[in-house]
Amino acid sequence: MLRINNRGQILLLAITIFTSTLLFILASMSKPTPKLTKYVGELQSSMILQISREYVSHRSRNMYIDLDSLIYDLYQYNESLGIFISRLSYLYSNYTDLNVNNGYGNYTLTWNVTYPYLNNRVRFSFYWNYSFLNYYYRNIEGIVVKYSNYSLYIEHTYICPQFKVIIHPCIYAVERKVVDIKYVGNGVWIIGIPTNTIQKFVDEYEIKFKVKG
Amino acid sequence: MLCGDKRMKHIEGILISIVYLIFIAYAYTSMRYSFSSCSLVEVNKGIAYYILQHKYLEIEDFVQYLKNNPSVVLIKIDGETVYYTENIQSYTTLNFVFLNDSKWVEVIVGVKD
Repeated sequence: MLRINNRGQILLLAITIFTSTLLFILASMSKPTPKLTKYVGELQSSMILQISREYVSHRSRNMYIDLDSLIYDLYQYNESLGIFISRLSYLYSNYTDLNVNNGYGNYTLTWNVTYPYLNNRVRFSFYWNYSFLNYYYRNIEGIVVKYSNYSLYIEHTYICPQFKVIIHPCIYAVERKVVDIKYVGNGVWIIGIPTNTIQKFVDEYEIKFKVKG
Repeated sequence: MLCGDKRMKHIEGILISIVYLIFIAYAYTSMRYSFSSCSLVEVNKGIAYYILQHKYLEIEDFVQYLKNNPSVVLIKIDGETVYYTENIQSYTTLNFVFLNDSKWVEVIVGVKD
């Protein structure tokens, strides 16, 4: 009787081994197919930060862009492409204080990304400030014009749980022939603008801002 | 008779060990695929920084940037394969979209497993 039980157990084990081996062989014979990773990290935050920058760029130039529509598109891409963007809510704020001696401003878009068990904050911010240095005179087509020299600082800040990146973008003046620009380094520029004028500048990501001379 | 029983027990022991080994192999395989590989995380970070630094996604520039990483085996932009390496074995994809001048660009990057 004991012997019959033993034989049954051995048969069961043999069947298990045989089945497992067969499954392994079949799995290794199957054609490799691409797997979509479920790694959620820097890439998802970057997508959100990129549309934030686009939004700020449009808003700074008084151009219309529907952020809710972009969010809806991202949700659609979750279904069609598998980009793993979670539920999003946002808050936009901007502030400018432009004076003759100094001034500053920022455009900020803050996101709350809601995952099943945690909330992440993602933020894009464009910030600039300037302060008066001195006066100088410039001859423009025979007319002597009084100019104000300013030190101007520009930065983009990208913040998410995975990183904090600060970029100092390149800028140019809308009225290139009128404004003098020189890059010093680390986001600092020396700009010369005609006194008592407001000059518009655009950075390389097409975000517009003003300096009051 | 007693000798036969001992032999059966011996065979049974070996078979049980084999079953254990198979379970360990299964567990190892499933663990291996449930964690992202280093190259996948590296490529993910690389693309993320590229997105932050660029206003527009220019295909040639983007492909050139990713080609520096030998783990990248495939790049598809808007469904069109723009780069692939020969002998693509098993790979995992990183999918994302880029807002290029108010128009979405769909990008799939295949990373070697």
